[in-house]
Amino acid sequence: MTRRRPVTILFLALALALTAAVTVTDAATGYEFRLGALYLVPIALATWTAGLAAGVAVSVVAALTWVLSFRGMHLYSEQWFFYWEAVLNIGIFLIFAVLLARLRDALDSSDARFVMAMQSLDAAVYATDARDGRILFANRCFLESFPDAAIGRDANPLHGRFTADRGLQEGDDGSEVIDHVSQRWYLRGARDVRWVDGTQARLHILTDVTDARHARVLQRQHEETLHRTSRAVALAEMASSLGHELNQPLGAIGSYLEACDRLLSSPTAELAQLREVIAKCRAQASRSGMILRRMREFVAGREPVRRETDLVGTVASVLRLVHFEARAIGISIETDLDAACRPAPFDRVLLEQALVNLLRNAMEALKNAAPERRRVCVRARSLANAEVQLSVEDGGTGLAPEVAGRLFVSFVTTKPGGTGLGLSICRSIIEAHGGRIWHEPLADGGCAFRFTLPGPAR
Amino acid sequence: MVHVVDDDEAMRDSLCFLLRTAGLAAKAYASAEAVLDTQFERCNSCLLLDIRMPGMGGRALQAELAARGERMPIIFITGHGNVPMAVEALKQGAFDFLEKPFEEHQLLARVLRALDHDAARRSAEARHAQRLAQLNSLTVREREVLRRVLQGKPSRIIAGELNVALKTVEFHRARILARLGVRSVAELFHLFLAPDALH
Repeated sequence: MTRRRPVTILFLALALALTAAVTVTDAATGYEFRLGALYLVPIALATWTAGLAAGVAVSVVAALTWVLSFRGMHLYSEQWFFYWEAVLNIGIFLIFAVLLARLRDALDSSDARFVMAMQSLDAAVYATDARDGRILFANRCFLESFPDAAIGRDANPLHGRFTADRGLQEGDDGSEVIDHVSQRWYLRGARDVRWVDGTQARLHILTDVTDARHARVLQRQHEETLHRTSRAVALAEMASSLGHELNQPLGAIGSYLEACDRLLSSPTAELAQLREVIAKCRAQASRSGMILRRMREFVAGREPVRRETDLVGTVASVLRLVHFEARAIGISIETDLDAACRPAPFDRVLLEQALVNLLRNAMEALKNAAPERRRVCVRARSLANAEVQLSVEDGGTGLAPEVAGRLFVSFVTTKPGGTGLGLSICRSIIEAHGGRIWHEPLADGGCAFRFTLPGPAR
Repeated sequence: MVHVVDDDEAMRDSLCFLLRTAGLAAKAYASAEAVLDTQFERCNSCLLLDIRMPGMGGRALQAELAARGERMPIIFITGHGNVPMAVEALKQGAFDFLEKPFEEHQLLARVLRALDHDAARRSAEARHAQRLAQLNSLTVREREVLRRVLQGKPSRIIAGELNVALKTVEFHRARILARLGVRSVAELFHLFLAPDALH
């Protein structure tokens, strides 16, 4: 760190003045009352502020003035004893000055290393005064990222720029925050340090995690797509193999019936033969039934496993699941959860599945909505008959009448690439719990899906 | 005779039953291998073949029959989604294909068409065989004369080329017409309109 020259000269002059003051005082108090050690004060001052050369100079001046003031006053029997003491004095002064200069250099280079390290960091680093919030230091990255902040100015306006990630308190340490101006995400860390000049300071580190977050969101979306695709493939495979299996008995029945028709129109039809064919038809019909039953057993979801489940906790974990998806398309999800909803026997996994399906539908409905309408609200209410009612409301444009009538029918979908099973799965889950599900248009044009679940057992 | 090949018993049985009520003879096979073990009778017939069977599939049977020189028309029965396979089979010379589920009258119509096709093929083959036999009954010299007659050369030129008397050529011509059962040279040409008859 370079110092400005006038200040150096001022300190040098002060050191010399102090030297003179010590000399005069020492001379006035006589040889027996020793004050020589006080010379170390100006020597230290000069060395620390102006470097080793200044320290050596002040040492020499101090030793000389000491010799001059006591040359005729000393109590030694021999004159050279006195000079020997002078040599010892200047030796001590010089050793002191050299050591101090070394210490000074060491501190300087350690400061320089620190600053260099800070400057080369990719993270924005700045230090603020603990008392008034002034910025004491800021590295290159910080000045580039926040050009309107400057050293020596108050850092508080900067803090207003950040909003913490949802679900986390806006604390200082370890939270991810978004900068409203640049729309970039930062991981924020801070710790108290003693600054170079000894003041209490706070060192802040803002690491840009926008790309990492973006990658994380993409990764999640990718996994989700993969999951959906594999589900669609499995479904297609099931439908196809079901079709193949059913084709056999149905085709056979068709052929038998056609043959019957022909037999009946021929004059020589035999009743016994017709009976035989009809019996064969019946056998094929029941074979079709068996195929369907087997398929059903194969794909049937498990029976609900009911345990005392905290509804609010379930909603929270579902929100965590869809949180990234929602933010990626700029949808805010609000909750309005009645604290009176007590834990009740639900299958948590199935309930989560139903809620996720409804939330995804709601978000899907908002895809083309204006930004101010992009909100979904999840409500939970405890009803008078101890039932619990959960609602997922969206700010979309509602349902078209021709869709509304067939909402819960399997394989009916309005989404490209949809399976048409989401809502029918929801209904199966809710009905397996003994509840019911329906939808309502909202006054503002949106749509609400509501379902009830039986409350806690009495 | 309709040969029905399907691994599903009900399908097999019902198809045979339907074909019989329509007045056709039908024979059921449970697998492609069973077809290969059979000596076909020499009558108008077609093959109703399930394209997807355990063991040897319909396509493999088609290839094997073609290799054995069996030219009976084949109608493939395919499930939904095997249509590209059926198209490939058509390129390999299959007569037709039906996608399950199919209309029964459609099936009957195609089977009848295939049988007609087979009947036409068989009579063409019979005529061809007969003609070959007739040609084989000619002497070497008669065949030389016949080749030149078919090239449109007058008797005089033929006599010059073969270095025989005009009278001899006329005599050979008359014998050729008699042996092949035609009355005039025009009828002779008509008989040989089908290519490769002389080879």
